[in-house]
Amino acid sequence: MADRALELFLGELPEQWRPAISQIATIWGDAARNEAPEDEEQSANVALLAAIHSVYRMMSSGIQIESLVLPALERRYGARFPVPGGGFGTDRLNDAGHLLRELREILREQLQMSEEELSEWLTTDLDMAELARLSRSGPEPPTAFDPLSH
Amino acid sequence: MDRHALADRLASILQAHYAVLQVAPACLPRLTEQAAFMYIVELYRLQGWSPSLRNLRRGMFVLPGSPAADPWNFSYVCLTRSDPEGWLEVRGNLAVLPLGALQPIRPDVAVVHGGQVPTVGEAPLLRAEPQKPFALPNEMLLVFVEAKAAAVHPALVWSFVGLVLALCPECITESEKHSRRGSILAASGGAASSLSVLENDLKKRSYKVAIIPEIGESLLSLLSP
Repeated sequence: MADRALELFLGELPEQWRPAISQIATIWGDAARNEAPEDEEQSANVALLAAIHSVYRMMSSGIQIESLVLPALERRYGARFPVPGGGFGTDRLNDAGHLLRELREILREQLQMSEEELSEWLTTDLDMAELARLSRSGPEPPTAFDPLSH
Repeated sequence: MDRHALADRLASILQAHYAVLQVAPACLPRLTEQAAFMYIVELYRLQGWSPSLRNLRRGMFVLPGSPAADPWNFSYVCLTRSDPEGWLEVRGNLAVLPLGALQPIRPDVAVVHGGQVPTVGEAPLLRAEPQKPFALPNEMLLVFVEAKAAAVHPALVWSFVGLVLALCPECITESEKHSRRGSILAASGGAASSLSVLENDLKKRSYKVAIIPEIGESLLSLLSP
């Protein structure tokens, strides 16, 4: 059965993305399970991280193309390069930029990474050892009952 | 890490940016195709070809957004060199008819021998039948590119290798052809680890395939002075 946290994340994605992102999460979750069959928590964490990484990469790549690449092409060729069928447009591009910044902020806080470490992780291919390391980083999940806190 | 807390926070961010996420699935593939198109053009420039934009519309380079579009109504890039080897054209969404196939397929980017795609004036004459859409014979195709906005995953490998098989069967060895179902599944498994593993996997299988991750970043580096 799919992990509830992953389901929650997938549920907020556009419908068209869910099958592919879910597939990516499954592949990496299964790979983590193969490496550490007893650690179900780690495989669920790895699956979620892989899904987030993929969504971030996809969005940041599109934003970069529209905001930097197309203007650079315009300068080189002296012609405008409209996106067939339309791109984000200025307002949505700003909104997309905010979205990425907020995602980075949460990831940095949850994974306790520096800005540089986060940038490096988000701009490189997924790697099992790194995912496993990140899945153990940051705050621990709360336990159902902690006698010391009572 | 606290996976549930992370997912909760992410979900609320995604909800707050609902509008932009609704347009992203449609516009990210188009942006990626646009970048892939010009990346190929810049690679040819590096090899000594001179690119020039053709068929602009009011100063705009317009690629076909719809797969059914007639190629003569859209912009393309003409590549020329000083030696007399003829010229090449880079086209978007061009219909190409694989040998023996009845239906054309449309790679996102196609590099073809020059002069094979009719211009607006020639189009009615060169169409075999007025209602039949134009499709270029397979042998005129030199390079084709499939651009995917999504991070690599098995479906991408399936669709790409399927296209290679249709357009360039000689790029796949006999043993691969006979057992391609199994081999493509194995290649899909390779996608699980990383792009470099996938690329090596495809090379080992004799697929003449180049994978360009981060197409925007790669194109920017070619465009920087």
